[in-house]
Amino acid sequence: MRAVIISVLMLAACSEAEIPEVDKELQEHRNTRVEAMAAVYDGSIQYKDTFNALDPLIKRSAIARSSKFDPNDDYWGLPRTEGYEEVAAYCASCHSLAIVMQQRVTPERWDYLLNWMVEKQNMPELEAEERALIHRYLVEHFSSNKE
Amino acid sequence: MADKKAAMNISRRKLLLGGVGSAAFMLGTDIPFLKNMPKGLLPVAYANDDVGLDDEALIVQKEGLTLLNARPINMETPAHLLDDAITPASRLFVRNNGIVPDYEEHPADSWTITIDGEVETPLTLSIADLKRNFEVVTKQLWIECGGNGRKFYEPGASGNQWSLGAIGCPQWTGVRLRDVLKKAGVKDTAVYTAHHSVDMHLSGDPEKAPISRGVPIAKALEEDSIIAFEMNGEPLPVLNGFPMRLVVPGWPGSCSQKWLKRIQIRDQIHDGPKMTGTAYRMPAYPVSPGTEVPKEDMVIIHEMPVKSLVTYPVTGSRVKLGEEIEIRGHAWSGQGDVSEMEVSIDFGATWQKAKLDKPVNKFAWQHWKAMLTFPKAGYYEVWARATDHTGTSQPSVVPGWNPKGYLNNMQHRVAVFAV
Ligand code: HEC
Repeated sequence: MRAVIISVLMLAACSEAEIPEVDKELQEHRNTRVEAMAAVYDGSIQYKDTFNALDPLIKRSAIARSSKFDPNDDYWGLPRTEGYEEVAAYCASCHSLAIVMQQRVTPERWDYLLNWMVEKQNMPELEAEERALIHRYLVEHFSSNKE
Repeated sequence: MADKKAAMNISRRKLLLGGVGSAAFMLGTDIPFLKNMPKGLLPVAYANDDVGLDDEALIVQKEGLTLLNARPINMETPAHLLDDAITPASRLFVRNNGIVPDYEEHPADSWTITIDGEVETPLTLSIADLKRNFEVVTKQLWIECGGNGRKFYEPGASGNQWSLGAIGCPQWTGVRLRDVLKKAGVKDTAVYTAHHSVDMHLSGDPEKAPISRGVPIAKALEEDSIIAFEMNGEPLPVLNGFPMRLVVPGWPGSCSQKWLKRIQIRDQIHDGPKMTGTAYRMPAYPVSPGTEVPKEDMVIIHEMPVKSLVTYPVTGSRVKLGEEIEIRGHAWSGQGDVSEMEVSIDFGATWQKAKLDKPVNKFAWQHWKAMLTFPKAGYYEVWARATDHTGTSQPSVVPGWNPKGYLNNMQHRVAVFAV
């Protein structure tokens, strides 16, 4: 009889040990962590990539990495590699470069868009060399290729 | 190079307004008007952009919207600012393809629209004529850009990178498009409508329209589409089409031509700018991400998909652990009514039903709410999904990739910290 009671008690003790109650201190510690996590959360999440509840993929997207349009910069924030002056000269007369610098399309799509700009949107045709330079620049900085 | 750049950078609007040559308009110089502007209305980054003064004045009428581009003006509304049952003018998104017409040159009382083409009697009508000759109706109708959600496609799809807020549901007052077309007498040869406006192409070419779309005649004759001249009881905002526009609910917003001047009835599918190519078209078959689709395989978008938003709380909110909180938002579908609304706090593993209101009229968005408590401290995402009366609901991930990134109706998620 006594043996049975002891084993039941032991069982109880055992199961207790397997599912440890979170002690108060640990719980407080965790709460602090959650609070710290909430504190660094950026409310303007749509354009940031921390804790992005909208799309986990966006972290990988080139948007976070590519240069942002900057109206206060002489060249609107275009990265200064070969071709930026041409892009500034040819692509900012009808629309601002904000529409150009938002993109992260494929190289094929940039090719399509350069044609579309000429065929449908009145852009003067570019000379082959300049076109190639601009295409290279756009692909380098504002395409899905960007790493 | 520098000269060339300066020469090319003067916006067409300034050219038209005769501002060329004035050094004050050159890029990088201060625009005095901006200094008087209440702080916080314009994102700081844009406070010095080379946009015309008139455009600045229009932009600041929109409160808290995100400026995707100032030239042409494209702005979206953060989801939590869409909490109102009826979207106020200051919070309705702006999609522009061209240069906004000068509203002072086009006062409402002398504005007319023309109905012509495949009709028995062409009509030219002012707002007063519309009010006098047709039943005036007021309806709450949602309007959403076909590219809303484009930002989430990978690889990127070209165009403005809308996230969630190219949607709104104001109350419109006008006359039924159907009544006006019937009065003009649509001929048997009628196939499609063609909508024309007065906004100017970005290149400044007066012969060229930035956009001219249309809908099949059957859609135009449905009872829900209206020619609107008021929004929320006021004249239309300039950026949203003052003084007259179409509202063709359920279909991409581009069918709802702003600054409407003419509705031409055509005996073929309309082929105006943004009707052809890849504009407002989807691949005829599902394509793998990044595929360039031949033009002949791109088909015109009709209905918009079922969709919903969480408008409260704002993403990133904290809630007290153990406290019950209300989560709410709106749901809509191009098919008409939404029949069910559900929310999940465990990444879609389990769902609970939300309370869903009936729409005030067909194509008004429907409000929903749910009471939630979070089981323990931590980071949660509230996911929301709507199901329409055909049993179709929203995907958890980005739906089929397409070259222009249209029709993204993935579930909206907001982050919530239970602390
Ligand atoms: C002659 C005028 C003109 C010039 C010059 C021009 N564009 Fe455009 N571009 C347009 C118009 C018009 C649109 C359509 C705007 C809209 O509908 O919002 C456009 C749209 C775009 C878009 C968005 C495409 C989409 O799918 O919606 C991109 C990207 C772009 N332009 C890039 C460029 C680049 C890069 C250059 C320079 C090589 C350039 N543009 C020069 C007129 C021009």
